[in-house]
Amino acid sequence: MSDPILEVRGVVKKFGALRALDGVDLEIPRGKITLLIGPNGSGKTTLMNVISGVYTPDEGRVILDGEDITGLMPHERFRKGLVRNFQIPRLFSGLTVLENTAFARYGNPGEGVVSGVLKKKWIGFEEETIRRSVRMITFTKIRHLWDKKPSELSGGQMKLLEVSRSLMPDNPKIILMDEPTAGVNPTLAHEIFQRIKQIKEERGITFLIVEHRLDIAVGYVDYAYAMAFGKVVAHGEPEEVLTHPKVIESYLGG
Amino acid sequence: MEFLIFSDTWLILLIAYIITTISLNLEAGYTGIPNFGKAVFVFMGAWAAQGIGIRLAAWIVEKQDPALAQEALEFLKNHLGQDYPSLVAAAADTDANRIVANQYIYPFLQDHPMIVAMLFIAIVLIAVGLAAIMGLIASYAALRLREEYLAILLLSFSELMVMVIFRQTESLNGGPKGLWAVKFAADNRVFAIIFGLVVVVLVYLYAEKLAHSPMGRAMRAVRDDEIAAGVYGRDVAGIRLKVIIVSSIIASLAGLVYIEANLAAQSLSFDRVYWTFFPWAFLILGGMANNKGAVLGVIVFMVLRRMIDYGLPQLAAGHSALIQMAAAYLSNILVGIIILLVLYFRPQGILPEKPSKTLDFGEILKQEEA
Ligand SMILES: Nc1ncnc2c1ncn2[C@@H]1O[C@H](COP(=O)(O)OP(=O)(O)OP(=O)(O)O)[C@@H](O)[C@H]1O
Ligand SMILES: [Mg+2]
Repeated sequence: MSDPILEVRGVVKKFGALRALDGVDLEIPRGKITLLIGPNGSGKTTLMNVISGVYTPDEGRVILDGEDITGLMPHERFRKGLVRNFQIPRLFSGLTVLENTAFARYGNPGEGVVSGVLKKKWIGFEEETIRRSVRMITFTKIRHLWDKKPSELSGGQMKLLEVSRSLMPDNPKIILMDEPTAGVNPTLAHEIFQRIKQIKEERGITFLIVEHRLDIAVGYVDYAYAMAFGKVVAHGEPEEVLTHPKVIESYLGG
Repeated sequence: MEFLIFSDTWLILLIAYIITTISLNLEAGYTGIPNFGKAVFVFMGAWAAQGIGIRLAAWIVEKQDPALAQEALEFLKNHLGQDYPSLVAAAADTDANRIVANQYIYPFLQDHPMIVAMLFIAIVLIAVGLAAIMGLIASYAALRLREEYLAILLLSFSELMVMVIFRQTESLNGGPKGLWAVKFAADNRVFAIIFGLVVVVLVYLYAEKLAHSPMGRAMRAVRDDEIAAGVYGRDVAGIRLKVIIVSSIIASLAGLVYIEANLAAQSLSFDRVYWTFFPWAFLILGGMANNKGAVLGVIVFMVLRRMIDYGLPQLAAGHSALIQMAAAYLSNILVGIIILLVLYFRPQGILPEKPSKTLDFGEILKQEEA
């Protein structure tokens, strides 16, 4: 593939004796939506954790837009344009829905121990951030919960908050989403994928999306990867990958 | 000075504790940094006025009034049989410190208000600078360690500095006895109360503003889930570093207030029970991540303790010595029981954490609706 935005080369990640990732190679096409599928436990989330720097791989490299980011901390990768969300929501329990969303926009000039108390320095940025957050949670249909803490949300609402957060950052190159529509009703799930497609088209942002609800996702994605037992078993056009014998076998076997 | 059963000594301790607890709240309450080494940061404020400040003052006397310095050295030679090379050396020596401070430095300072003002500014800056450096050293670990290890590391760090280095090394702060500190006003207690109250107001306003700022939000995010905070671009180590440094600076001011009120204090006064565990108890009692709670926790605790300390001996008076002694110890136990009761019935403290909004979110929501 010419000029992928994200490359994963020979990544191995072991948990004790288990090789959760067993030599994974990926090339994620720029400006496209790539679907990542695979049975439970095949290593999709582990791969997201390695790409975003939450886990350090035992072997292999991660390359973002031509730059090797394998040694970088998660926050450094974010600042290079790599955004992700979490399959199992990791929300800030002391912040409200609106604040959780607002926090996901990085670059607030008021995030300093001196600048924080100088309201003039940050009020403009903050107001814009809050407005955007309000619009975001309006879209994800959790606006009525804006003042609630995560502990007061249902599982589906938490996922919607995860989605809201991952769409907040200013200029990402790529957004990794781990099952963004799990537990979300089909109508809203379609709306989320439409929105993702729109963001891709309007802003040229690349998406890598793990999704089990293939019936919903397949209409929106441009490319697909399939994993099984920590290895990539197929990649290519979504229809090809979904009907690939090895992929079918892995699902039936698992 | 006594009003009802509350003394000025009590009031000064209350003020110093409020400052310390607000500072601990920034770390532990808002950012989730388990600072069990508060004592050393408080102590830096005292050291600035004691071991460092008294040398600085002696040096100024030597420069400004060599005759007076000479007279002091003569006096020490005759009365202590000690030959000090300079007033600075004498001021920092445990044998001569008391005489030099009380008979020469204090009277000199009283006659030179401009020098006192400059010395005061210098010592505040030294306190703040030392605390910042200590904070930097402590954070070096804070950036890398998991919470439970960090708590133990900070506790050990504080113990090592205060209990081992400062108590064993006489040249630093007079060893176990401590040194007499610089005195900034004829009535140092009134001075300490006024200075302390000014610091309390400023520090409280600062902490409240910070809590209601994007920084306050980032601190709570780091506390709640450092991985998610990192994934969303925040340098978790950097945020902790900044908070520890600012909190250490604030804590040093508590030490400065305390030492100004007492002038002479042993290095032992700054031990983990009074300057680490007590502030933790106040904070847990009052409510973590709530500045009002932090202040209220100190007040409730200190008032209760004072009432018990005052009331029990009255009840025990006239009884045997054993009962009187038991009454004195009982106060600690009673305070402990009260804290346990509060924690049992109100685990989030008297005033639990509240959302601290940066702006009027409700208003923005209404505008966006239109
Ligand atoms: N932190 C961990 N420690 C030990 N084992 C782990 C850890 N994280 C994942 N695993 C194991 O690694 C394997 C891959 O898990 P992973 O979560 O990546 O799968 P997945 O493809 O995301 O599955 P799902 O579709 O259920 O989300 C599983 O066997 C899992 O039990
Ligand atoms: Mg997963």
